[in-house]
Amino acid sequence: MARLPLEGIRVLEITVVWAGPHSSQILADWGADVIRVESTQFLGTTTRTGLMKPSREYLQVMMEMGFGFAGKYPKVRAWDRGALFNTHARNKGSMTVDVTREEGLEVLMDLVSKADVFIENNMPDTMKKLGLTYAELKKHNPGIIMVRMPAFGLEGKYHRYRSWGQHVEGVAGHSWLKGYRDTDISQRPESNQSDAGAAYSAVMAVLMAIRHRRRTGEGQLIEIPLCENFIPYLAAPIMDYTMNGRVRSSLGNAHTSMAPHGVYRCKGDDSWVAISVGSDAEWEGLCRAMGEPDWVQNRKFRTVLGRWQNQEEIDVKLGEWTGTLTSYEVMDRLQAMGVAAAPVLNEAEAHADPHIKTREFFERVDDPDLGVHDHVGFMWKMKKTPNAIRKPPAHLGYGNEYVYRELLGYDDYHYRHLEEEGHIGTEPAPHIP
Amino acid sequence: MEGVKVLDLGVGIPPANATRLLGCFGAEVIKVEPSNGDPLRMSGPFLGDIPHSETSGFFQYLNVNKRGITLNVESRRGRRILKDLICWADIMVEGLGAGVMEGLGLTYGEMESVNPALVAVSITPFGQSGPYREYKSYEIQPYAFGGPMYFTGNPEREPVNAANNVSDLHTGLAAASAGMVAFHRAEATGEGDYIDIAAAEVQLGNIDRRAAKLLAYSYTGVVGDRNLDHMGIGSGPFPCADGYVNLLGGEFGFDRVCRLVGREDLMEDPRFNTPEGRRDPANIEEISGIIISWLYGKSKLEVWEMAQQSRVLSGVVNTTEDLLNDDHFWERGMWAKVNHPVTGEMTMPGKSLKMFRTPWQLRLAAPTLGQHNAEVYCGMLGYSREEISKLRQAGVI
Repeated sequence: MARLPLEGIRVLEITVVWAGPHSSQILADWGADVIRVESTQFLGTTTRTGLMKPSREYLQVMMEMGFGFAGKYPKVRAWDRGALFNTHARNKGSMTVDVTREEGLEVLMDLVSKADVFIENNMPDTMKKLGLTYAELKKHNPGIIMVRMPAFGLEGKYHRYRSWGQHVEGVAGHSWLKGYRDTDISQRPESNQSDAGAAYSAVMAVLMAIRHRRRTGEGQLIEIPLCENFIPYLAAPIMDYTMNGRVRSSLGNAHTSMAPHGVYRCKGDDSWVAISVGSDAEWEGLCRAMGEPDWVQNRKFRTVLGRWQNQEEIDVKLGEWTGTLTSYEVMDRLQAMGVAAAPVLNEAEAHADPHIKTREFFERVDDPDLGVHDHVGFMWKMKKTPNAIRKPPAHLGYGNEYVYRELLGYDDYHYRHLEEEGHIGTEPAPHIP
Repeated sequence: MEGVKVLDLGVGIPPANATRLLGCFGAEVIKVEPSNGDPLRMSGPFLGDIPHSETSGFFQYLNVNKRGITLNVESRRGRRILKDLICWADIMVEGLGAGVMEGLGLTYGEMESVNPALVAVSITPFGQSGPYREYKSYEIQPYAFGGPMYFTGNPEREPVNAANNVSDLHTGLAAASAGMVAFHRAEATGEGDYIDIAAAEVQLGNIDRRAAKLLAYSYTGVVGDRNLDHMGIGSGPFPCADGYVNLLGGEFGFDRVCRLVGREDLMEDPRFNTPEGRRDPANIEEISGIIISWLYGKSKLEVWEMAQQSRVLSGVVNTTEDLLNDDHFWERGMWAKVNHPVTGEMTMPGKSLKMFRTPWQLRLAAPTLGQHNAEVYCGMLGYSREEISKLRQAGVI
């Protein structure tokens, strides 16, 4: 296999939950040597489940939410088995060190001197307390590129504020602009795109910074606040306010200019299809696909504006038609007429879809501990550098040998000492609940 | 990205956003439009609500730091010029649709033969291969098909979309980072690459829970439900005096929320301190009622500050108006003021990330249609004024 594009770049991460580990996942996917710096003295709450021995009830609830564990009710090493963690941990290694102690910090700085990139997305104060600032890292490696992904910035009124993606999207204005348009906002759902967005920005910025370093020798600090990275996703409604003073609210599944545009119920259990009509020709295609029922003849549906103004009436009728067919039947019939339609896939359907299969999106990964499973693949394909998942998800501390012995060159004495002191290990310390 | 040449062949949001991002960090971007303009020009909002090819705020936002030319690629002459532009570029981004470039005689093999270092990024809804490759699609279809829509919303109702444009802009950002991955290698080896990036696959890999749920399904065979209450008892958004505030309760934050509302007693209440009790809808409703009464008369910013003092993970629910009126974002330099020859000064989102050595910059307002034809065709590609006017008469530019 050809050399992957990012081979030769070494990345360290001290990251939690989503945005941070997802950015390093993408770098790892394309060849970077990514090392998760973790600790046996602390188990990230959402990141690695947070529990040494989660109860069967807890695992059941998680499974019903769609966040199950390998082996369903694992009796050992649950922290290596949750889908929430494992989905972004492939192609990476995991080393352990307790950076809250001087000795541990020295190990980390040794590692920093051998790295190109350091990624973190913790509370700014946490990093300060640990002494993990850019100025400090730079002392050990002048060329280091440090990526920090706070919620609201390293400075400013809200820089200490604690939030998750859903809160950040509320502050950015997304919560107000998404969800059902006919219900109170408390009935609006919590799906986010801000974590993924910050992750892609980090990948882009890291590679720009590496280019700059190659040309000048300079490293740099990169700051990607989740909130500020997401605000531009709302550029259109924001500019409607700055230009026209209009404050937009949610459109639900409707569209600012297309109609019909929505998600319609299909035959079967909880089955749905997304349909958009963007032109007169597409409307005519939709009418033909439905068999030209009488109601479509109404004059008011003849123009884009007329359809937009009467979209609720169309939605009801269109839903009656889609309800007689499966979501795939609707897609097939509408696409044959040049109309945009696709089923809303649940996880089982996505794994079974013929297009996704033909594209070979899912990757079969054999993990010696967890068995064989289909993992989410890569978000794009590259012709010259075909790719496959190289390593199963990083189990806690499984990369210690590589990091301490190969990379840092520590001798047996030093290694054993760090083991005895609770830095090196593959299991959380017994004091963790 | 100084010295890097980028070609934006359009159309629509994803290629425009990908090339905007590269331009904001120094790349020289040329945007190629058909003579009637990128359809994005007719996508609102428009200044004064008057639709016109030069008054779309969204178009202007997506095309800062670009020079704009018109080119009719349907004509033979136009295709030859396009090939010259492909020779010029380091990175080319297009979202014309699967097979369209091939139809113009520009397969990747052809592009590679004239420019072996070219990074070609092709963005489509479903990808360059597979049975749905040529399927008609707008923004919502790849999100429904690939993304987290299925589990987003009320279980009794239809799944629900993100706000308009969010997924398209996201695809564009993903394409910019994909282009950078290939460009990193191209600079090191002199060999370009071809990127096939599909909005549907960006969504299948979406870390905002879709990816985890797809892997969980491989582990358990269980499909997760659609549920509004996943964040657990005591989680918002809740109404207050001037809007809504979002608090995190549940396993993680229930005790903190109790402290916030001055009801530490609830932490010990046997109804609420078992996992079952915390999932009981009647109990959830009771706690929500207690929180909402406490919020009565308080403003959202006041509540947010108090919540933060109680270490409750939280946020206000802002409208665009709230956002633009918050000093925090002005002081951080979030907003850019851009002077455009037709619309005058426009306020739009500016830097979304800070690179301390190589900062985000604004050099050019979005081009008016064909604004840089003379500059690019004469100055860069070496055509004479006469040839330009012939090309114009022939409808090539």
